[in-house]
Amino acid sequence: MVIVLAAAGALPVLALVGFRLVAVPLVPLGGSVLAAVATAGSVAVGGTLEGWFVALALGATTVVVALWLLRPSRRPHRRNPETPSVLDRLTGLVALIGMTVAAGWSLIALRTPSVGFDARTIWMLHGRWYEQGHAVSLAALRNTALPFAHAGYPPLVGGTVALSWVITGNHTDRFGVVVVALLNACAAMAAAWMLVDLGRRAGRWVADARGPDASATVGLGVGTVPCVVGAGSAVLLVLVAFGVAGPFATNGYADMLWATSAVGAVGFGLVLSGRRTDLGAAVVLLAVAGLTKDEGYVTSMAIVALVALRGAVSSPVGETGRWWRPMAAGAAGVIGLGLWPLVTRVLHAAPNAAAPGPRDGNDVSRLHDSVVSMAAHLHILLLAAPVALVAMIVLGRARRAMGFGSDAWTWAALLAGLGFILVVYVTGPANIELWLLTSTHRTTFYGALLAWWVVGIWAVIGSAHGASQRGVRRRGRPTGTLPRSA
Amino acid sequence: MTRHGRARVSVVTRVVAAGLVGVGLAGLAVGAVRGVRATAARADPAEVSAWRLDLAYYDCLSAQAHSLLYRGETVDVSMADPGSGVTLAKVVAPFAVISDRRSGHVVLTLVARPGPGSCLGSVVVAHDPTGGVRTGGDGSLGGRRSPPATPL
Repeated sequence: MVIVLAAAGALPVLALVGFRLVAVPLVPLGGSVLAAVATAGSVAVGGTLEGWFVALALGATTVVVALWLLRPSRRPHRRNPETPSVLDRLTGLVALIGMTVAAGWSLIALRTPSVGFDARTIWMLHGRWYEQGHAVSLAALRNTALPFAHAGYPPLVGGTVALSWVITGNHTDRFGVVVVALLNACAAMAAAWMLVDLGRRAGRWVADARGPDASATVGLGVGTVPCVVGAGSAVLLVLVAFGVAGPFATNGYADMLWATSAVGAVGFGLVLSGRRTDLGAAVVLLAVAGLTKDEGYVTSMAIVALVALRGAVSSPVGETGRWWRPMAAGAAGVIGLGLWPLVTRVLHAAPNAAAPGPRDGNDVSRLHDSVVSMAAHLHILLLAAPVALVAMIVLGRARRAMGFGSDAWTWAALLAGLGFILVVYVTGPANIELWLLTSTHRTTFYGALLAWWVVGIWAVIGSAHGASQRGVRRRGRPTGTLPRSA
Repeated sequence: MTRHGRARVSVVTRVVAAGLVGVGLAGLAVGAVRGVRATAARADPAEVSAWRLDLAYYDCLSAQAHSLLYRGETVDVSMADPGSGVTLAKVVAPFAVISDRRSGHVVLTLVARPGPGSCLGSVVVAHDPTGGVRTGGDGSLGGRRSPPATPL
């Protein structure tokens, strides 16, 4: 199944991110985005899911091939701004193997054949509807008798599961849960890959800053330190991500998928230097997050706005970039993410039920309860916040010199995601106590994971700064920089 | 800034940088170890056994529901007991259309009836619009154990 998704998503993803190892986990995710769009087409217009999927996969592949034929400069092997060094290749390979082993090990939890509550009432159920085609899916979308089925949720998980059933002939919920877990693993690896790229670029900055005599004075290893720290952090973060998600990583829930994808999008879109290939990876991950869950598309919209703002702020006026280009691209991204919610409104989808029971408490009491409940799952902020504060004060200039985005962008993305969840709890319906009890573990995945990523990012930057200073007494501060920082 | 002052700042930044690496990697290692332990606990044989029972329970209920309904049939699921109602809805919704209009449809309930032919002590019962009552067949799962509590 993963091979089918990868085959469908391969060329579109390579067109966006170029020939990079991060494409390995991104390609199946790209296929799942196509499955989601195919599902939306089947539900809204008509036809079968598999028919739409084949047509979209062939169409996207044709467009990419035509683009590469007409504009050779856009071919993937020409999209990487610099030729990767032996160290880059070695680090990438070791990191990919390490992350694959970490993700593979984490998936041993699939030995336990658990199909979670939401997996049965939402995600596998949506798959059952979508595999039966337009008429059944549309009727189900409008059915008000199943408010806990959240019929209007975005179609990526249900569509990918349905497609996996149709293709393999294995129609069990258990197989659907395995497919979702594999997508979770791909998203965690893609998000963690950002640390690998961060380490390699920081290592290059160290080597540039130390100059050609660096090897003579401090040995060849000076640029490898951030590479190793980046790769090691990436492997650890894959394990951390599965630990944060707990049982929900392997029981068919969709929360880890959108959360890790959104975290990866923050890394590629707001931390790395803003190259087109980085933004391409962010686009794929934002599409996954935005097509997976309601929290995902709202958070993705906020991330898109921040990426656009960062692009506008850092665009040199009158030179290669103009401030309106990233803003226009951002507006297009927000509109794209808003299409599924719009489709569900046009099709008169049944409303969602957040939790049983009438609304209780006032805004103040609900705010208090929500903050307390969410805080219980966000202990990592007690580490990430002071680390980030001290690091921004002491190493903020070094980070900018390396060409990476300010940590303020990351925290803005984190606060936007958590803030949205908080507002929904406070202003929403339902018995708040039961709602919080049954959801905050999962709705805080994004905030918790992004905080873990902040810790890893500063570890890499700290290692690069330390390596750049090693052996330096009176030579002055390294001045090397990469373009397009903000 | 004097040379002395610059040197002091340089020492501070180096110490902070080293601290970030140490604290960061140590934190990530602790988080990773916790993740590994949590994963290992979920793959524990007792967990595997409990969730196999859960799968068998739902398979049993599904077989009973299929024996009472045809694919695509419109039904009403009794929510008199919300817990049982939601369990039954999870079984029925994948292949039948659940309606919230009460007239003219089969009404399904999940009834506690321990003994042979039950799914861990429960059976699916259909109340026809004509007044007839049918009990689901084709599925049976004996024993007194309960399926594991589902994490929400």
